[in-house]
Amino acid sequence: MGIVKVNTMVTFHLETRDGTRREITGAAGISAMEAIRASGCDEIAATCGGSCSCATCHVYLRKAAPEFLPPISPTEEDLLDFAEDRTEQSRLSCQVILRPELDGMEITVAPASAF
Amino acid sequence: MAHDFGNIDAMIADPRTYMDRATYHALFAHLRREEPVRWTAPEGIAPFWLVSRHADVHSVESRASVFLNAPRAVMRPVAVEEALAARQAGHKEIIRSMNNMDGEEHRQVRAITSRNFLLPSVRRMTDEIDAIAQEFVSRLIYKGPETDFVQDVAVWYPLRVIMALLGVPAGDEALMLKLTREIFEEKSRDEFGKQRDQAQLGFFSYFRDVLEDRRKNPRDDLATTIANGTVNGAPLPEFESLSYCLTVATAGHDTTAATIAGGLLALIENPDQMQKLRADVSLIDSAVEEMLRWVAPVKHFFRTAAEDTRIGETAIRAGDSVMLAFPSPGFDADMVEAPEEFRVDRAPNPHLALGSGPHACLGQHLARLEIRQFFLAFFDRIDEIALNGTPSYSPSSFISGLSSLPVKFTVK
Ligand code: HEM
Ligand code: FES
Repeated sequence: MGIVKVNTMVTFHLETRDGTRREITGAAGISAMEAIRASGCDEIAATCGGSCSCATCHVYLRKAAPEFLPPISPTEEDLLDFAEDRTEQSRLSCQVILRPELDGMEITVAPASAF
Repeated sequence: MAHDFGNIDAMIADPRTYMDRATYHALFAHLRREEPVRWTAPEGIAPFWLVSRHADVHSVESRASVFLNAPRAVMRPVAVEEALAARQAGHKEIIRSMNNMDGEEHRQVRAITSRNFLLPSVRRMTDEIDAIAQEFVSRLIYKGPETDFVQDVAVWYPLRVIMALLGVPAGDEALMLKLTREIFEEKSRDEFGKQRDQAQLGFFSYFRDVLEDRRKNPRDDLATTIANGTVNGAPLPEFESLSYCLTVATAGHDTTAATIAGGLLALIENPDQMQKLRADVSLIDSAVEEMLRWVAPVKHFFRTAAEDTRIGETAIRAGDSVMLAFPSPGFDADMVEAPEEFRVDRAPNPHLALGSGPHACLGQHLARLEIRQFFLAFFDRIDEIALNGTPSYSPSSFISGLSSLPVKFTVK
C-alpha cells in the first residue's frame, strides 16, 4: 500500500526575551528559525536568511531528543564560538530542521550578540 | 491597469528586458498579481515555473530538500545545455560549485570557505575594507569632476576586495573583469552561451596554475583554502575546485559594483533621500539594505522539484524546474510598504536580493560591508553629485546592472 504524504506539522514552545511563552507550529522540513519568524516573532533577526553565517538566530534548546537533531556542523560550531552567552543548550535555530520527533521541544531566544 | 506585455515567454528569455528597469518591474508587478507561479516556455529553452511573489520565493528556498539546486542553475538554450552535457559527462552547467549542489555535499563544500565569510569574521575586516573604499573614492576624485562612475570606479573597487581575498595579484584584475563580463553578458540570443564557454576555459586555465602554486606554497588567502579543501576527507576534484574559484571570483564583484552604482543612481534620483542620509549617516545600514532591494542585480537562479509538491496553490511535478526571480519579492506590496519608493530608512526590509535558506549568498556580509564603507567614504569627500548623461544597463537575464553612469560632482 502506498504511503499518503501529508504535510506533517510540528509544535514547540517558544520563550522570547521578555519571558513571554507561546506555542509555535511549523511544517516538518523547514527550520525552527523559519517557523519562529513566520509566527511574527522578530527577536530572531536571521540576518543571513538561514545560511548559517550570522548567529542572529541563536537559541537554547530543551526537551529535544539529540538523535533527531542535525549534528552541529563545523560552521555552526565556529559561529557559536563567537556568540557570547553560549551554553550547552545553544543551537542556531536555522540549523534545527523540524521533524515530528521534535514535537514538544522548548526553545528560548538567546540574548542578542554584539560581535 | 491592463497592460499587454505581448509574449511574456520571449520577454523573460530576452536579455534586453533586464536592461529596462521600468518594463521589468511593470512585468513582474503583473506576474505577482495575475500569474504568480507561471508556466514559462521560451523558444529553445527548457520550460519552467516562474515564481515572483515574496511568500512563494521564500517558501521554495526554505524547502531546500524538496527544491534542489541541482541539476539546473541558470537559464540557457537547450542547445548549449546539450553541448555542455556532451563534453562534461551529462553535467549541463559550465561549472559545478556549491550553487549546483545540495544537502550534505553542499554543506561541506560551502564550509571550505564559509569561516571567512561569517558575519563576525567579516566585521574584523572593516578597517581593511575602509582603506580600500577610501582609495577608490580618491580615484573618483582624481578622475572627476566628470566621469563614468561605473567604468572608472564602481567595477574596480569590489574587484580589488575579492581578488585580494582570493589571492589574485592586482595586475590580473583587468583580466578577471573581462572574463567575468563574458560569463554574465549575453550579446545576443545567437551568441547566448558561446562566449561564456570561452570565458570558463579562460578562468579554468588561470586558476589551475594558481591552485597548483598554492598547494606547494600555501599563503593566507582563499585560493590556498580552496586548493586544500576536502569533502568527506578526500580532496575536492579539479572541476569542483576550479568551479569554486570561478564562483568566488565572479559572484563577488559585478553584483556588488551594480549595487553601489544603482544605489548611487537612486540617491541622485531621490535628492530628499540623499539629503536624509548625508544628514544622518547612522542610517547607512538601512540604506544599504534599501540599495540591495532596489538594485537586486541577481535576476534569477533555478531550483528543481525532487517530488510532487505545491507552490502556493499551484501543483508542481517532480522534475519540474522553478525560476526564482530574486528582485521581485522586494517589490511585493504584500510584504513591503510602498515598494516603488526608495527609502534609506526603510525597516523592516524583507527583500530577497541575497536569497535565503541554506544557499543564501555566501558573500552577503562582505557585500554589505563593502557597500557601507564605500558610501561612508564617499559622503566624507564628495559634495554635490548629478547625472551627466544617460545611464545604461548590461544585457543579462542572470546578473545585470548599470554598465554606465555618467556623473559630475564637486569635492568638499
Ligand atoms: C550585492 C552583492 C551580491 C548580491 C546581490 C548577491 C546575490 C546572491 C544571490 C541572490 C545568491 C543566490 C541565493 C540563493 O540561491 O538563495 C547568491 C549566492 C552566492 N553568492 Fe552572492 N551576491 C552578492 C555578493 C557576493 C559576494 C561578495 C560573494 C563573495 C564570495 C558572493 C558569493 C556567492 C556564492 C558563493 C553564492 C552561492 C551560495 C550557495 O549556493 O551556497 N556573493 N548571491
Ligand atoms: S539565520 Fe543566520 S545563522 Fe541562522
